[in-house]
Amino acid sequence: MEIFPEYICKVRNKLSVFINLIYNKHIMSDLNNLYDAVLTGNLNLAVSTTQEAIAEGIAPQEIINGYMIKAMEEMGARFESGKAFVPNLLMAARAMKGSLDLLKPLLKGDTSASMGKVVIGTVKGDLHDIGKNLVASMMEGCGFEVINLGVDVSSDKFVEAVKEHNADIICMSALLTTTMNYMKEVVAAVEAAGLKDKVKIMVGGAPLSHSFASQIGADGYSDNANSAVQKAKELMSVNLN
Amino acid sequence: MFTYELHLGDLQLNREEIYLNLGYGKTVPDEHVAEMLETVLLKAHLICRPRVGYVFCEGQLMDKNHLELNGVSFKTGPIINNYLQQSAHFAVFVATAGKGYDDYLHQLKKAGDIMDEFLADAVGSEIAEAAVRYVVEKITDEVAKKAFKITKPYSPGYCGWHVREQQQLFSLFPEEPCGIKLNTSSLMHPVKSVSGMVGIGPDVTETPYACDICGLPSCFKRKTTHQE
Repeated sequence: MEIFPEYICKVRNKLSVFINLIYNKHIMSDLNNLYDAVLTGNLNLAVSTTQEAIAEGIAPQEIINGYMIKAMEEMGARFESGKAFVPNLLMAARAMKGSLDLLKPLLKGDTSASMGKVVIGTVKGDLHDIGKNLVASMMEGCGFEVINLGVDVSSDKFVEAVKEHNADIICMSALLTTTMNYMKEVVAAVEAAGLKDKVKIMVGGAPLSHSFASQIGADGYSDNANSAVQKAKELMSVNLN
Repeated sequence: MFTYELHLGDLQLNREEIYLNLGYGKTVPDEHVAEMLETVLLKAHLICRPRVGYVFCEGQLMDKNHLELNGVSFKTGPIINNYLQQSAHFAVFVATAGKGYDDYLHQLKKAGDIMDEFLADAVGSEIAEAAVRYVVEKITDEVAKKAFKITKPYSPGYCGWHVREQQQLFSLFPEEPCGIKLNTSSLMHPVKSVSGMVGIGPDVTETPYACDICGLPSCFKRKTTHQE
């Protein structure tokens, strides 16, 4: 009779291993769906899979780091190699954001949940909106908090927004050769406000270049939404060091 | 001022330009994106009422940087002035996708779906460009009656002509031409609008835009491969 509880215990342990195996396989399968959903830009599937994962009690950081960010990294690699295009990037970012919106409330108090805070706008004199919005969307999709100031943004507005939101990065956009020079005024205003050491400055837009960015004292330049995210991550790691 | 109120069907939209605006080089969108694009185009046909207009002006090049039209001075810069050398007359024009399309863009922006917004923006840009082609064709037809030709169109904000000079350019039209207003930064509303000018004369030539001499390899309007 003494042997009976031991037998039950062994069976129970084996059963537990088996159940965990099935359970984890089920979870893995679902989260692989999330990876695919983000990669293919399937917003509905991304949202429903995230809801299931939350209901199953999977840690938000595991969902984000293990699957969503990996999917965005793969999308970024495909974009850089010319196998994916801006609409693919956007759909992936949209799916990622849909999932992140569900996960964010569960991450409150977890400072590692945000990649950083970004203030973004098209500079004064320029109404071109969409390139800047692409960058904003990609940044949000990749875990940055984004404060979008819109278009025709003055240097004062940029400085005020940095102070108000305690931003880590300013992103400026211009599409016209005649408005890109205003970026220099913004850099000067940031310096004058004593914020240059606290906030990194990124610039982008069709007529810009690396050399222009260096000339005006910007910390980073990117020519597309994907590399803007990479550059922002790079600048954040510099900020943290 | 000669004005035309149009339907989208009156314009020749160039799909390749839309694909270019969307970031596709020589590739075409996949089935899913193409389907979404069709939805935007269908909507555009329902709501978009493009408007174009032009005014003939007397003018002359003052020096290598300046041009005077109907007594109003412009600092058009050396690139544009070089192309206007043979011009005996000028025409200024506006072309817009119209308020209906602008409202549609605002709705999409408010709804917060970046994908729809991006597609509609790309289509709107091409509508405005197609409207420019339409008005340029009208000017071409008109001046051809006198055996004149026209240059390529040039717009404030490009080729070194500052966007703030849109204020002077608009002084050559009646108030709010084709429903276009300028804001304090000299930018146009509806946003999908283009203003500009062309040179006119018996000997002018339609010189292609000088992508090959321009140093902006990342320019989204680039038509030629940049030589490093």
